[in-house]
Amino acid sequence: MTFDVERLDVMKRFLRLEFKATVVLAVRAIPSLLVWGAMVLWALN
Amino acid sequence: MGIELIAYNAVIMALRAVRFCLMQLMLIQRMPFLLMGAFFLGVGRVCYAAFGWHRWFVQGLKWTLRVAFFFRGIRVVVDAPTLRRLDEGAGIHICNDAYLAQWLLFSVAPYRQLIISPDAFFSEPWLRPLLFLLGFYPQEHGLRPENFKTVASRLDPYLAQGFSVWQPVYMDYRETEPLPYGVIMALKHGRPVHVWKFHDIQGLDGVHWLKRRRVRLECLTQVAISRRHALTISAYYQTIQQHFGPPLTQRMTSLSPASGMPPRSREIATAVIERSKRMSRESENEAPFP
Repeated sequence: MTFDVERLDVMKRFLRLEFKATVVLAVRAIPSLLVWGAMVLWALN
Repeated sequence: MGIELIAYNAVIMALRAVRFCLMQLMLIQRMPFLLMGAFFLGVGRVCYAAFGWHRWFVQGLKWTLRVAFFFRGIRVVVDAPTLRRLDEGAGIHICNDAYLAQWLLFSVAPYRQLIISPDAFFSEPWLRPLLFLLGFYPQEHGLRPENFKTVASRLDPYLAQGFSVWQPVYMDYRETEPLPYGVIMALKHGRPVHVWKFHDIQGLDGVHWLKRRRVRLECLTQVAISRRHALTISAYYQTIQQHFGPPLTQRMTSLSPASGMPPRSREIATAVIERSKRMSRESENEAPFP
């Protein structure tokens, strides 16, 4: 396995971890997003 | 290849930007806990400075943290069949360390407890006085089984007044780390070492309110202090081995290396020893003089 291929493999794993962390944070943020959404709707009406 | 790397970097930066935006939006759901924490910190600190009231300052923060953990999806359950309450087991408590372990411990520990934290926990100088007030203490380096009797420790007055001391320890790295500070203090004061285990604590960063986690803090056993310190230390390590398995170094050496990798130092050493044994056998079989 060459250095470049190994680096690419590490980047892929890193990307997977970043994506997983973003999904977890998005799920955690659902209550806030609902509140913000309701506030925007209320402001528009 | 280069374009692929640039694309990966761009996606990673975009994901980080999304997370940054989400963190700002999440302030609205964190606001109640931030306000409660700020209230207990501010008013509690002032009351402590003015009247010396310390207990409700600490207990209020513990309660706030417990509620915040609950809304995040983490619930800590203490499972101690031999102890009716957590503050009954006066002595030294050792448990496994992990992400958030210090704060989980702080949220469930009673008032008269101290938590020995790693040095990195105290890296911010402005935060240290507050952490000391909350019962977090750094370990004292240089205390060894040979010299602990002559060296005065800052924990001595606390232990003399019946405080308990908790120390989360990374059990996987025990072969490369010195004897835990808590165990040395147990030897010094003749207090038993309670060994605890956090179950299901791995991967707490992936927990959210839809995927909740119940973390169980179980009291496994108690290591009594005998007159011979070497015997106590041996009993401690045997207990850890029994409940937490072999250390990481042993597990890593048992793994076979990937194909095409250079030989490891252990394999080189074994080959050298074998060769020297063979050479010594051959030289013994030779006639002394031709």
